[in-house]
Amino acid sequence: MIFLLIFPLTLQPSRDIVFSYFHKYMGLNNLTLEKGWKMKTKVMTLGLFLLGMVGCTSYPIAQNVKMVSFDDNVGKGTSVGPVRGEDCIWSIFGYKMGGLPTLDKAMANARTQSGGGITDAFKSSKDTLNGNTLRYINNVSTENDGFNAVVVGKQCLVVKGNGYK
Amino acid sequence: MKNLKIILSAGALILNGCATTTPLLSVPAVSMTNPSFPPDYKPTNLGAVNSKYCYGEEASTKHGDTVGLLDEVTMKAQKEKNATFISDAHYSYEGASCIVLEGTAMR
Repeated sequence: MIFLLIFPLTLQPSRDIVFSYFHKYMGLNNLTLEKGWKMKTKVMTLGLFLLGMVGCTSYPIAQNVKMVSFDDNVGKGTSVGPVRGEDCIWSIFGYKMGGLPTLDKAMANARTQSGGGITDAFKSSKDTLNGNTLRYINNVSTENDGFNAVVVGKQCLVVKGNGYK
Repeated sequence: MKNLKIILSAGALILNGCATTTPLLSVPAVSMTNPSFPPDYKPTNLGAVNSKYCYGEEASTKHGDTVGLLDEVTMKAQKEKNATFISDAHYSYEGASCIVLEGTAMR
C-alpha cells in the first residue's frame, strides 16, 4: 500500500509533456524550451556531482574504538562476547515520543545489556543496573537503525562491540 | 540604526550557535591503541588533555571512506601526549561540526 502511494511521486514528466504544457499555456517556442531543458540537465548533473563529492566520507560517531571502559580499573577482564545496546525514539504520525537518541544512553544499555524499548524510558537506573554489568567494551562502533512506516516509526542509535566483565 | 541592530543580533546569534557545546559521552577510560591492560598495570598521569576534531579535517583513523568521530579525537589526544589511554574522558559536540575530548592522558 505504501509502495502504491509513493510510486507515482517518483515518476518524472517526460520532456514532450513538459514542452507541450509550456508551449500551450505560456506560449514559449521550442527553441527557448530546448535551451531551458539543456540548462536544467546541466544544473542537475552539477548538483549530483557536488552531492557525490560531499557524500564521499561518512562520519559515524564511533567506527572502531579499541576500548571504552565504564570502570577506573582497566585491567584485562573476561569476555562475554558480542554486545549491543541501543537508544531509540518512537514516533506516531511523525510526533516524536521523547528526545532524540543519545550515545550515553545507548552505551549505558550496552553496558547493562538492556534494550532500547518503548518501556525503557520509564525505568529507573536501579532497574537496569542489576549487578550484571560490563566493565569495558572493545572495538566499539555505532550505527543508526530504525524504520518509518508512516503511522509508526522508530529511530535508534546502536552501539556494538565485544563486552568484558 | 535599526538595521545595524538587526545585523549585530543576527551575528551574535550565529556566533553563539557556533560556540554551543553539547555533552555527548563521559566515561572513566577510553583508548584507541590498547584493548586492555595487564592487571598489575600502574599508569602514570601525563596531565590534562583537550583535543578537537572537526568534519573534513585529515583523519588518521580513516577506514575506507568512514571516519569515526570518537576514534579520531581520541587518537589525536593520545598522540598529543603519547598516552596509552585517556581517563575521565568527556566528549562533547562543539557547534555543528566539531567534537571535543577533555580528559587526563595516562601511560
